[in-house]
Amino acid sequence: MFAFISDLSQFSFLRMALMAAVLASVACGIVGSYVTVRRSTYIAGAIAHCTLGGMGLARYLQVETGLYWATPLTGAVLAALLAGLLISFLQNRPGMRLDTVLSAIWATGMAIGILFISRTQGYNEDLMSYLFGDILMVTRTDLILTGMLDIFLVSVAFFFQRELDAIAFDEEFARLSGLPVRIYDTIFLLVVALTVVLLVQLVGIILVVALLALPAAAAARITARLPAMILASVLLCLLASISGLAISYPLDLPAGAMIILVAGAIYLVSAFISIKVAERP
Amino acid sequence: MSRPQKTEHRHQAGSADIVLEQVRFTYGREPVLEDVNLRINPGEFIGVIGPNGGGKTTLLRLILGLLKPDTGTVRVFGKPPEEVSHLIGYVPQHLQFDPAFPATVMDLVRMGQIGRRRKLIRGHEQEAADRALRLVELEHYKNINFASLSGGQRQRALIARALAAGPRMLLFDEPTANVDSSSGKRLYRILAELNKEMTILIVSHDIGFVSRHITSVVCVNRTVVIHPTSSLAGQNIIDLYGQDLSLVRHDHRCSYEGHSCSHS
Repeated sequence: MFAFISDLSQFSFLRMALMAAVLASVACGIVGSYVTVRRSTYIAGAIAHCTLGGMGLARYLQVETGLYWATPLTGAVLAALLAGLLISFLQNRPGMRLDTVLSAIWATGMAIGILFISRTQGYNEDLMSYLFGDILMVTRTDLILTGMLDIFLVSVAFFFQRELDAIAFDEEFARLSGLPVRIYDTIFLLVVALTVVLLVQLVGIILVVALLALPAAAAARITARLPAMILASVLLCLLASISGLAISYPLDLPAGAMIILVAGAIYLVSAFISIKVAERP
Repeated sequence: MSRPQKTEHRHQAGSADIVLEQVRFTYGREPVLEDVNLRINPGEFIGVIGPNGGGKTTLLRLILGLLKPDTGTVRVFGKPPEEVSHLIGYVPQHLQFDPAFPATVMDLVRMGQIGRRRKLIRGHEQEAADRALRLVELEHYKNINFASLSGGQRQRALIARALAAGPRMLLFDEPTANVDSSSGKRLYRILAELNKEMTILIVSHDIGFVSRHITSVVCVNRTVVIHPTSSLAGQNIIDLYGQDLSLVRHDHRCSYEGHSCSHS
């Protein structure tokens, strides 16, 4: 812990990692709360996993054909947005089962990624960092993008709070109130997609769902209203990501996994507290 | 809630609140509703009954504008339903909602004031929400969690959400589902009070609760027959359906009585 604090002033990569944790927590808390109350954690899961396809393809093009702009981040953003659009296009169609659509996107995205990664030099390290993230490798571009997403999310959540709540609670009633629910839903999915991509840089594909769902679920247990839940879930995300980073750094453990472990512990504690409170006469 | 002038749409629809003419709706290849002609006048308290799969919910969704008829026309207050959706207070079943949704009763009521529903209450949103809560007798619950309400209270909170935009009509889908009988009685006492201000239409299996207050019964089984008050008063329905109404097969009774509302 002390090594983490003293090294902060020394190493800029560590400061960047801390910055990334803070910025991502804002996005994660807001989006995680809406994903949780809308019960669409698995949508986030499908989008996260299919980004492997985008990252694998982009990395292949970059390494094997020298296409300089094809960075894994670009690939991940494109794959996530594509998945978001596909889900939004298919989800309310009669005869379409959302869980099937999600499984298909989830698995084919990963398969495409694995195929391209196997044909790319440096196979192992790439795959590990995509799957489990590497917050210490975060770039200035990542930080700027996350900051922009934060500004967008905070203003949307602030100005459209009642509309977003109403749609999350009862989509049909919102449609009857004349809200363009389909447009809201599509934007929501694209925002989830972008947030997922940025979180993938931090904690990796496999752990994204946990970082979206666990702090928000813990926040839901200790708050009664959506704005409070969002705030609490941002704070719990901050707690999980900063302490995860601080614990893992001196021990030279993967930061992403440690962040999730802390998030899981927070969730357990919140569940325990809320059960105790409910038992009280 | 004063009623706006209705003269502008007297021409075709008369002064009826709901008019369906020659409506046909098919789901896949099966017609769910056909030859539906229906006219609901202002101030009525309508109970919509019929067997499961007979088209009750489809009828409700056509009136709400959530479904479009294959042929025929649906007019609410003389206009297509989607143009007047802010005048229609819709109360879905409370069972379909996530009971853990993080919102207070007041948050829920204010959700009834989004989009087009701001039209009639602009600048008076908070008063309208407070009034809605008083009408359903939940004014002391406004800061309580939706999650900690009973079934009957949740149903009343959803009515308050529907009332929060000053509608001229209330539509219900099975309001007494999973509500105990004393809460059900209270619910209908409140509805009878609201009926002095607005038209009410209830889709229900449980017409026994409604019978004392309803003015007409609409029997739905692929087609629609309306029984006005004069020919079918509350007591007559009990005679017709028996006391334990949840056990009655509406389709059989309807066809035995020769109402031609069943094709079975």
